[in-house]
Amino acid sequence: MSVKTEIDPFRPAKIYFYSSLFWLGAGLTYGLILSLKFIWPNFLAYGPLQIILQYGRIRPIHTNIVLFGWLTMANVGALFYIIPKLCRNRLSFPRLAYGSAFIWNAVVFAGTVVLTLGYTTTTEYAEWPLWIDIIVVLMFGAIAFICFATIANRNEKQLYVSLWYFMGSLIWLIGLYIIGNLPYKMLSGVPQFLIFWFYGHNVIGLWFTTVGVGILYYLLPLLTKNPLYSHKLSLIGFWTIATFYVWNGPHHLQNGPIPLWLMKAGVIPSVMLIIPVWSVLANVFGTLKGKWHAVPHNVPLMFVVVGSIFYLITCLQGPFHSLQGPSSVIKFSDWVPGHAHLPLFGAFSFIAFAMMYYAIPKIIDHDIHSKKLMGAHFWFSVVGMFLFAFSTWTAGVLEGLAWIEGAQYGMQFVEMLVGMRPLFIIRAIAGALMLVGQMIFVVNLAVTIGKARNAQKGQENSA
Amino acid sequence: MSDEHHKDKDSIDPSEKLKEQKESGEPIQSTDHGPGGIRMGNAKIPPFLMITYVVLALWAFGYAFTAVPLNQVSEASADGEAIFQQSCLGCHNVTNEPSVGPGLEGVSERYDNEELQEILVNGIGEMPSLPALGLNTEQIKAVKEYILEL
Ligand code: HEC
Repeated sequence: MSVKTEIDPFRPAKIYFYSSLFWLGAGLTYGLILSLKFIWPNFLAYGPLQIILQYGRIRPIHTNIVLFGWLTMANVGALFYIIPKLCRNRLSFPRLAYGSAFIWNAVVFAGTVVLTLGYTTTTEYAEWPLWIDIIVVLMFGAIAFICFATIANRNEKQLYVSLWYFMGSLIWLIGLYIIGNLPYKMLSGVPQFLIFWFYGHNVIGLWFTTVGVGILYYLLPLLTKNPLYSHKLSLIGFWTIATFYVWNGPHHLQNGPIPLWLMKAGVIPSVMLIIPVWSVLANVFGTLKGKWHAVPHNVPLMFVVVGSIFYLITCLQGPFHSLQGPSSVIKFSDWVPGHAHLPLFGAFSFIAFAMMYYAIPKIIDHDIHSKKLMGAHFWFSVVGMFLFAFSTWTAGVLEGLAWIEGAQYGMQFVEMLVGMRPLFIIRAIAGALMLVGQMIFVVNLAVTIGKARNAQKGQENSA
Repeated sequence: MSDEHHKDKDSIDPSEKLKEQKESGEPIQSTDHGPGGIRMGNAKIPPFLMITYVVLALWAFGYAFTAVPLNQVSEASADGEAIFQQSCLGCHNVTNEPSVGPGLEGVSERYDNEELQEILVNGIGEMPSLPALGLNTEQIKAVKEYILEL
C-alpha cells in the first residue's frame, strides 16, 4: 500500500483514457445518425433538430469527435502510460498533464458546439475555427513538452522503438496542425486544397498511425511474452514512414487540376509506403511466431492481431488508389469513407482498445470485470467493421463506374443513389453494431473501475 | 492471462521492480536487456522484404519517367442530344409546349448567341445554371449547339 499513499503517477493517463471513452460513445452516436440519414434523409428532421443535426454539420462533428476526442485522447493516455514505463521513471509535470486533459475536453466540446452552430473552416478534419486551433496547438505543445521532458529524464539508456515513433509523432503533429490550419485564411484555389490534403492525410499518417504503431510495438512483446522479432526492421519501418508519408497529399487531387510532376510526386511515395507497412507487419508476425495458439484466449491480443491485419488491408488499398486509374473510379464515392474507417476504427482504435484493456487493470490494480463482455466487444467491432467496409466499398465501385458512364448528374444520378439504398442500410446496421460494441466496452470498463474503487475503499476502511 | 497483471505491477523504483520480477520468476533478461520489460530480437530482414524493397525502387523510377495523365473527358459525354435528355428534358420539351420551363423550339429566334450563353451559364429565374447541373464547359457548348437547332 505504500505506493498508493502517494499521488497516483498514472492519474493523467487515467483521466485521458476515461475522457476518451465518453467521446467514443458520442462520436459513434453521431456516426450512426449520419448513416441513418443516408437511408431516410428526413431522419430526425423536425424542430430545431432539423438545423443542428444537418448532414453538413454533423459529418464534421462526427469526424472531429472520433479523431480528437476519442482517438487522440486515447493516444495521449497511452503516451502518458507507456513513456514512463519505457523510461523507468515518472511522468514529468504530472499536474500539467492532468490539467491538460480538462482543457482538451473543453476544446473538443467547444469545437462540437461551434460546428453545431454552423461555423466551419471547410478544411477536412480541421473544421474548428482559428481560436480553437490556437488552443489546440498550445495543448499539443504542452503534451509534447511533458513527453520529451519525461524521455530526457529517463533511467533507461536504450530508446525503445515505440519512443522513436512517439517522439516523431509529437513533432509532426504540431507542424502539421499549424500548416493545415493556415491556408483557410491565407491561400485559395488549388494551392489551398493541396495544403488541406497535406494536412488531412498526414494527420492520419503521422499522428494516428505512428502513435498506433508505437503502441503496437509496445503491446505485442508484452502480450505475447516474446521478444520483438527484429529491432532492425522496426527502424527501417520508422525511417521510411518518416521519409515517405508527408508526400501523400497530392494523391487526393489525382486527375485534378495539378501538374503531372506533382501527381507523380504524390503517387510514388504513396506506393513506397508499402515498405514501412510490410516491415511493421513482418515484425508483428515474426513476434507472434509460436504464440498463435494463445491469441484466441486473449482479447487484447485479438484486437492487436486483427487491428494489424486491418492496417495491412488499408495500406494495400492506399497505394493502389493513389494511382490514376483506380482513383478515377473511387474518388468522391462511398469507397473513401470505407477506406478511412479501416485505419481509424479497424486498426488504430482496435490497438487503443487493446491498450486500455492492458493498461487500465494495471493502473487501477483490478482485473477487467468480464472477459465475456470483452469478447462481445471484439466481435461486435469486427463484424461491424467488416459490414461497414464491404457495404461502402461495393457502393463506391458501383457509384464510381456509374458516374463514368454519365450518371454524374440529372435523373440518372438520382436513380443511382436510390439503387444504393440496400447498401446504405447495411452500412447503418454496421454502424449500430459498432456502437453497441463500444457501449459494451464502456460499461465493462466502468464496472471494473467501480469495483476497483470499492476494493480500495474496503482496504482503507479495514486498515 | 490473469497472473500477467501482477507480474508487471506499477512499481516505480526500478530496483524494486527488478526484485519483484526475480521473485515472480520472470526471465531477468527482460529488465537487464530491454526497456519496460521488453526484449528485443535481432532477426535479419526476411528475403521477401528485400525483394519487395528492390522491386518498389525499380517501379518508382519506371513510373516517374513513363506515367502520363489520364484523359477523363470521354468524347461521348459531350454529345448535346444525350446531355439534353439527361439534364434538361425533365423541365423542357423540344417542342414549343411548356413544361416546368418554356418549350425550347425556336429558342434561337428569341435569343442571340450571347444571351443564350448568359442564360445557360448563370441560369435565369427558376432555371438552374448549367454548371450547377454538373455540366462542364465542353458539355455546355455541345448542348447549346443542340438547342440552337431546335
Ligand atoms: C429544374 C428545371 C429545369 C431544368 C433541369 C432546366 N431548365 Fe431551363 N428553364 C427552366 C425554367 C423554369 C425556365 C424559365 C425561366 C424564366 O424565364 O424564369 C427555363 C429557361 C430556359 C431557357 C430560356 C428559354 C426561354 O425561351 O426563355 C433556356 C434556353 C433553357 N432553360 C435551357 C436549358 C437547358 C439547355 C437545360 C439543360 C442543360 C435546362 N434548361 C434545364 C427550368 C429548367
